[in-house]
Amino acid sequence: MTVNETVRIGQGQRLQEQIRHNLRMYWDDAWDVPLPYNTELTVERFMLGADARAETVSVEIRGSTRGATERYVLHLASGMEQVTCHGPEGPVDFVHPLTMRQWGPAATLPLWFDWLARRDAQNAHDWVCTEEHWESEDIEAQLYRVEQGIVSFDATATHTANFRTAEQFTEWLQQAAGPSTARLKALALTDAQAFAAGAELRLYCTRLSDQDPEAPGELVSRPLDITLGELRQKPLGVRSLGVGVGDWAGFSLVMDGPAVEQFHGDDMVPLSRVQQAFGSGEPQYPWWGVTVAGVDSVLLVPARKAVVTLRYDRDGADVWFSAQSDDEHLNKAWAEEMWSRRWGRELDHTVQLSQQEVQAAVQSAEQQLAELHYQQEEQRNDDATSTGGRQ
Amino acid sequence: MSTTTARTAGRGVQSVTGLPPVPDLGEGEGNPRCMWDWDVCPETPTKKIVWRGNNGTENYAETLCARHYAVELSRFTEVHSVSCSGTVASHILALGDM
Ligand SMILES: [Zn+2]
Ligand SMILES: [Zn+2]
Repeated sequence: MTVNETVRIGQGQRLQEQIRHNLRMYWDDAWDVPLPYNTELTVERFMLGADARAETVSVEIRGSTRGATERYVLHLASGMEQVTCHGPEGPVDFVHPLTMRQWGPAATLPLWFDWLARRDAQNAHDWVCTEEHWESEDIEAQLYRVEQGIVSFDATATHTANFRTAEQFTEWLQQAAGPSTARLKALALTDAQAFAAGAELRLYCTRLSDQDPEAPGELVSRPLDITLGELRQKPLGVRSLGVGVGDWAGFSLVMDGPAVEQFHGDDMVPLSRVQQAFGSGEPQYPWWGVTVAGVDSVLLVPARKAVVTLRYDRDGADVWFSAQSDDEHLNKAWAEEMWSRRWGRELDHTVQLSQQEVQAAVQSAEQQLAELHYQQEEQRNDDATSTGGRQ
Repeated sequence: MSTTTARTAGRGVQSVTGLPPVPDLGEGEGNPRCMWDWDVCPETPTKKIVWRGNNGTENYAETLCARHYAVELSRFTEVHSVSCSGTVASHILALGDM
């Protein structure tokens, strides 16, 4: 062994130690962050590149078909905080798994580790799904679904900061709507003055139903809470739209063929009044408008601060669109993610659980709920005491 | 464009209350199947959760197999209660064996 080789091995070991240390810090028990359910990825699977000085680490995870693998190479040349990743199809852009915001090519090593662990688990899950009879697209499977009354449904979410133009946003809406005949469209806010004037600074709760064609909306209205200046400048959250508007805004549709049979949206504005405020391309102000063909309503959606979700059910006959402030979304998505990691095995219908395992799950769930209840009761008693014992 | 697709997440994404959907309890004979609806569960229900109705909706009983009963309860504790100002008592009237 030459001196050079010895040095290289020394560097390699140091790097590997560093990586392990770094990952262990992230996955420290005290953090109580469980790995994604069913992942097989471990720190030990990370292999140093052939040339340790290149500071590359490679890892193989399971691919999307049974037996296949996917190889990823992480580049640590700029340190643990600025790691880039190459996958089977070239450089990978990091997308935050909970806010769906595109970060660009670099993320921290622990974030990539989590990304790879999730992908490994997702790929393995995909094998099972495509192998299951009722998810395949052949005629026999389709007939089976019709007979059994099984319909398709899906939910897709993304961050509004990922869109540069109204056309990009519209394309996403169309794709996310899957088989639905609903035609959702994004508009760019290009004239804040025209919006404020047309909306008369009010938001409307609008409904449309073929059962009641005489009542096209404006059941309730509330003041638009943002000033013209804010509409022009600030990337605000959903809540800032108006007094009483929560961190969530959206609308729902029921389709009958290509026609909208029912529509319900809160805190929207009749599109006909503010049409001149919107255009195509990039918004001049940090807001999008989202509307649907056949409905005279538009929802203002923050252009840099929101997570939007499009969900459909009954093969696209039911559609829901929603926007939520990204920080609020993150809180909920984190809780949801941790829950699905902890309860992944119980949620996995391909896993048969023993009687004892089911009993343990029931016991644990009941105990958790009882503890929460107890805490809340304690809190209530404390509050009652501090307000003089009444109530 | 990057998206995440939750094929098994059949509900809850836009739901304001996050409560389970109102189930149709077959009158009289009860419900022969577990009401878990994320995927088809053929099990016979042995447990129940009675949810308190809100804003004029009636209370309703969700009958589940033991496994999905555990999953549903944990979801309430770990997910729903994180973003809801209501309490356990304001949501759940009764639970346990059917
Ligand atoms: Zn079940
Ligand atoms: Zn609640």
